[in-house]
Amino acid sequence: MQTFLEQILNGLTLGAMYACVAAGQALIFGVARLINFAHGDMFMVGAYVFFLAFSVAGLPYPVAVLVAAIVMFGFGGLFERTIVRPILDKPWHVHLIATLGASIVLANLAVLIWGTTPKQVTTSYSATILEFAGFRLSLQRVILLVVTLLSFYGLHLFLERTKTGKAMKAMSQNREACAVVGIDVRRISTLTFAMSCGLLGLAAGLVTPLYAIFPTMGLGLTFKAFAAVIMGGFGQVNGAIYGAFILGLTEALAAGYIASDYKDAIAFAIMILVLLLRPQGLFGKKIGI
Amino acid sequence: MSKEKSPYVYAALSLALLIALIALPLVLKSGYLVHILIATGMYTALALSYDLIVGHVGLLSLAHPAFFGVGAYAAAIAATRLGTPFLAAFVFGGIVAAGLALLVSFPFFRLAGASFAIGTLGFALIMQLVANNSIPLTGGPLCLMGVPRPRLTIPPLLDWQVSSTTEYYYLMLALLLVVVALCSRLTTSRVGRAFISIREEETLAMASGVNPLKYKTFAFVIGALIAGSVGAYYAHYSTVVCPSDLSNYMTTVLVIILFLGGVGRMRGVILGSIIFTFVPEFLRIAATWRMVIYGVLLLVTIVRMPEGLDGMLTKTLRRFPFSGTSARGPENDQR
Amino acid sequence: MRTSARPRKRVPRPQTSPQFKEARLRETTGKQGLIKPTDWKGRVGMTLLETRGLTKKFFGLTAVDSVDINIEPGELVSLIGPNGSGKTTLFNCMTGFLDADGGKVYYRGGDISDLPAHEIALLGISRTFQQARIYRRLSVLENLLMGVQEHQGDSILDRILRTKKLNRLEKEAIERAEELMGFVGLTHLRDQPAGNLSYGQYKLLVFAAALMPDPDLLLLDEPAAAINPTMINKMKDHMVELNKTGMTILFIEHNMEVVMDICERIIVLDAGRKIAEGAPEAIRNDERVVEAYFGR
Repeated sequence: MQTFLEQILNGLTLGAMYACVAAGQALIFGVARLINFAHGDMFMVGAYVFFLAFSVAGLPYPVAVLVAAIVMFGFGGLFERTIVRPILDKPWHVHLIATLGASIVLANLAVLIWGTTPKQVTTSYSATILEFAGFRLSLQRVILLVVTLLSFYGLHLFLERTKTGKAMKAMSQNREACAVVGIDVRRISTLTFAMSCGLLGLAAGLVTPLYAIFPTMGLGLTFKAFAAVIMGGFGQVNGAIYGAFILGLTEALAAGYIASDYKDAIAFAIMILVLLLRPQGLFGKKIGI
Repeated sequence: MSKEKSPYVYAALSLALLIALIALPLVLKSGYLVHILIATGMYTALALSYDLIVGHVGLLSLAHPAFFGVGAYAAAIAATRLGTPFLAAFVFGGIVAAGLALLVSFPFFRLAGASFAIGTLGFALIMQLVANNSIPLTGGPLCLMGVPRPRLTIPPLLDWQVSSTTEYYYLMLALLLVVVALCSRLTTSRVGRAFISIREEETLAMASGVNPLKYKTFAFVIGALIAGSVGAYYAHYSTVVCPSDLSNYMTTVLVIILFLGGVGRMRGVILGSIIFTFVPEFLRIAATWRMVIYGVLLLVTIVRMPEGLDGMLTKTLRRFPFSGTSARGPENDQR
Repeated sequence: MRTSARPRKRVPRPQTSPQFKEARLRETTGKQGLIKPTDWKGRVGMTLLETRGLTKKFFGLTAVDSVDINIEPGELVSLIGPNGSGKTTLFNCMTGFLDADGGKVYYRGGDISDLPAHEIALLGISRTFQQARIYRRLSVLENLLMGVQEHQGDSILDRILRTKKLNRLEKEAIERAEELMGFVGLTHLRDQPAGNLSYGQYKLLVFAAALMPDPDLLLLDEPAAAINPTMINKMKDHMVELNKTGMTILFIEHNMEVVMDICERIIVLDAGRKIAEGAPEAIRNDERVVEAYFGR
């Protein structure tokens, strides 16, 4: 029972990480109809930024996380302006090649700068172990879960209640109509990217103390996030989040009970199954995000 | 555009090129240079097979390194564990890769465009995982070693023990010539025309009676067959096969070769292969730096001139691959 | 310059012989002992194309609502109706580009409802699209060749090995392409990339490409749309001529002059339902039709 609960917790942590990546991926896809192959690599960049802020510059933990989020926010916006905007109306293979190129550049620059050895970060929270109900978990995990869930709730409120958020939802349903009505589609596009990357930065700051970071972690993350997005139904943010948690839980349970080497294959298997059996995603069909 | 070259001029040029290629390693004294030539040859064959899938049919597959790796491992395992002679192991490697491609084509071709790309990416990642973790089968991160040097025996004509770099070069050259001939034949035939019809306007192709699934599968499987064969050759050349041989480095290079060399056009692909394999190797640019440069190049090209891609295609295809006939030769000359 | 697609002299045609078509039909619809496929003049008595209760819905919107249509061999029929009445959707369901939600489609008595589009194309049904689709990067000649190469029964091996059979078939295909280029008047553009053509020339190319496999049933989606009056007349003449030689034509059209001028029968759709059917005079005065077009 103990192991089971621990695995559940692992799964939730993993799921939270995947969900942050997947939610951003879904947002970007919804608003810009673009699959960002570099999304996982941006997470990696965020992780290294956090590393610089925390381990190298010695900033206090919350500040370092914030720094990572803000830097990535800017980075996302910049990325959109320079790379995405010129190709937004081009066919999908252009998007793919462009973001793939970005992914390659980011990953390999990281290798050049930091080498291939994974980096570990320890915070006081990851070192603090809470004990209750007979099992142990690090405080860091709790913080991760709490903060991400709050962020998702905040995102939900943003999309439902604020003008900009609603504009984003509208754009994901019908971009042309939005332009006609006077919504600044380009500004919203940039903001969407910025927000998605900011979320990545935040997540990176929370997750890095738990897992090691290395330059080539991006592509695998991109893939898993995409699997979650597919599970949730293309472009639905909520669905992507649920899908990510399901993925995280399945991976953790499989790793614990079957074979830990092949757990990365689970995302692939799930994705194929969903695409074959229920291509509209597990969570029903809604138009837009 | 330019007048159709006389078939005799064409034949003469080809012969001259062939002689030059055969003479090359004898002229270049450096074994290292010949090694680079071999690598270039491998990448050319890989790029041509990749172009079948990506350039001609229009499927952006990211799974090519997986097929290469599967072919390499299959041949290596056959050669080391079962003592299979080179030719059989070579064929085996190609067939295993092709079979795998056939298998995954069923689920993957249900996916459109970018989803297909992601699916193939996942497949490539999984194959890397398998290579790393099936220790009894592949030796895992410690690699599969001890692949014997090829010995081609076709009694009573041939008994050739390949050992020197130059001999490997000639083996590679033979393989490359077969691949070039096959791809060239394929793309200038009705099959190639069907490929293009699928790439350009799939709906219209269906209305013309083209079965997209049949042709997509065909291109995918042949592409994998070639990639697997090159992998089998590679296994016998380097005598060691490691999981890192399935890395996405190959995908990057192939994508660059295609999109900067010339998608869908054989001369462009070959030229691209030479530029993006020979030159960096010759200049001994580190792999990581190469990737950064390639990535930036890709970004710049695709962002600065996204029509450039389409435009390049239009420009390079201005001289039509078929010119009204599917066979070369005086009897088909229309004018 | 040729003015007829069906020459009086017997020119070797691509191998879409009646035997070949019959064999294909039997293979794909599984029915034995079908009546022999139509010859030049068509055959009275066997409905060529029939739909029964064909229905198609999109997210709760019913685009095609239980439509019954019969097309007899040799007819020249027009399908009309206001925008959004489901005409193109009906075409798509009949030709395998969309899966119907209800009802059936029959071709020469065989059930083709579940056949994929490319197989239906091989049965002798040719269709065009509303947005003129052509292969822009291929030449006019190659566009036409594409229209027939899958119908000739050559195998992949034939193609790779360039067997005698393939060379012969290719030659026949080229001859037929040249014949059709003459018919529509595009011979001077033979080797031009199709993307360079004017819109009117596009439509002629599309028309010619649809004729390449010598279909028994031709489905045209707005053949007279967005072209100048001279071209429209040309198109009308071509259609009438082809029909005279026995080709069955069903076409969607908005241009009422063309419709009233050349067809023998008109089918009217409105909001997915068939609301009227009959001779041009009857339709012209039918109040349901008038209401559908003007009364809303």
